[in-house]
Amino acid sequence: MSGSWTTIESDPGVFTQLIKEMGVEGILVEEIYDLSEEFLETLKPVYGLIFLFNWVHNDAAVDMNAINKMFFAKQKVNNACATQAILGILLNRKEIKLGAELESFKEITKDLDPTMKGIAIGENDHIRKVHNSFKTQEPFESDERMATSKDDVFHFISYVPVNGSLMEIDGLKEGPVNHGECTEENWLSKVKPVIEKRIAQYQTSEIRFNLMAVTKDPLEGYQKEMKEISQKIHELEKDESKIAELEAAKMDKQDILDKIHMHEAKLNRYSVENARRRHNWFPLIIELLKVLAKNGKLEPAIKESQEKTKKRKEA
Amino acid sequence: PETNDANLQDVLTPEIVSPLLKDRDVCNALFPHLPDNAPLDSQSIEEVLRSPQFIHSVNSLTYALRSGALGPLMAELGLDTSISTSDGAVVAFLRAIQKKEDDTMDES
Repeated sequence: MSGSWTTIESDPGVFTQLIKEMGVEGILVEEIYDLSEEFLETLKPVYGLIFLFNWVHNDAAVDMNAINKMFFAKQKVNNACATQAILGILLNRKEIKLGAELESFKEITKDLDPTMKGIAIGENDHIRKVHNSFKTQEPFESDERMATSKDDVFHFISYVPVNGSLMEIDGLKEGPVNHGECTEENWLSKVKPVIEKRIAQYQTSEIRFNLMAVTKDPLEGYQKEMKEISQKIHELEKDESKIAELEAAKMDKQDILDKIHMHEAKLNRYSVENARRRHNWFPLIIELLKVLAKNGKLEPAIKESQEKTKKRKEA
Repeated sequence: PETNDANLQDVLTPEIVSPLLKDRDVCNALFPHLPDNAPLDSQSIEEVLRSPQFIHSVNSLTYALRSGALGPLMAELGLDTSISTSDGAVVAFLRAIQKKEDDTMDES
C-alpha cells in the first residue's frame, strides 16, 4: 500500500465536498431522516443511497454474473470504506460526469476483479489525498488513540440501480446482491422495504445507523425554473385579465427563490463545517490560553474545572 | 497522575472566553488563527468555541497531554518543564503557560 488512509467523518457535507474535489461536478449528498414517498420525491434525481451502520451483517446470496457488468470492489482498506461506498455509486451511473481523474480510474480498472479493484482504490493517490484532506494534521491528533470516535467502525453499503437491477454493494462480500428488476422511476420505492428491513433489525439493539442519498445538485434545476417562471410572469404582466394567474406565478417564483436560498444556506453550512474540520486548532487553543492567562482568568478556570472533574467522578 | 486534573474543555468555554472578546486587542490576537473565510468578529469566535470540530480538537489535546505529549508540547512552546505534574498533565500545561505569561510581563 503506497500510503495510509485516515478515518473521516460520515457527514453529507464531507461527502459532498469529497465528491467535488475528486473532480465530479453537480452532486449533492443529503442525509435521509425520512423514507416517506413525499420526502424522497424532494431529493430526486437520486443516483444512489449509502447506508452506514456499526455492525457487520452477512446474509443474502451474491450475483456473481453481475460483477463483470458493473464496478464492484472488495474492501481492502478499512479507513477508505466511506469513499469506497461513494465510488460504488459514482462509477456505476453513466449519467454522472466523473471528471478526468475518475474517468481514467474507471477505465484502468474496468477489467480487474473485485479484489484488484479494491486494491486499486487503496493505491490511488488522487482519491487518497482528497479523502485524507478531511482530517487535520494537528500536532497531537492520533487515529489509534481516538478509537472511541463514532465513525471508526462503521460499515458501508451502497444501493444503486445498474443495468435495470437494484444492486446492493457491500465490499465485505464476494459480489453485489441483486434485489431484482427496477427502473429509474421505481428504484427508490423498491429499495425502501430493503432498507426498512435492515433498520428494523437494528432498531432493537445498540446499533447506530445513518442513511445518505447521492443526488443531482438541484441548483441547475432551480435556475432553469427561475428563468421559466420569470418569463411566464413577464408574459402575464402584459395581460390585464390574468391578475389571478399573475399572483399565482409570483408566489411560485417566491417558492423557487426560497428553495435557492435554503440551498445556498446548506452549501454555506457545509463549507463552514468542512473548513473547521480541516483547520489546525492548536494555534488558536494556545492563543486563547495565553489570553486567559494575561487576564487572570486561567487559574480560576483551572480550579473550577478541578472541582467539576471531582464531582463527575463522584457521580 | 490525573487525580486532580482539569479538562481543557471546561477552560475554553464561551462563558469564560466571551467577556474577554469585548477587548479589541484580544480579538485581533485570535483572528489570525481562525479558519479561512471565517468572519473576523467576536460572534465568529464564539461560534467556533461551540463548534463540534473545535471541541473535538480541545478534547484530543487533553487526551494527548495525558498520554505523553505534555513534554514534547511544552518543549515546542518553550514552556518551563519544571512545573509540577502532581495534579495532572492539563493543570501542569496550563500553569506552565501562566508562568510564561507572568515572566513575559515581568520583563516588559
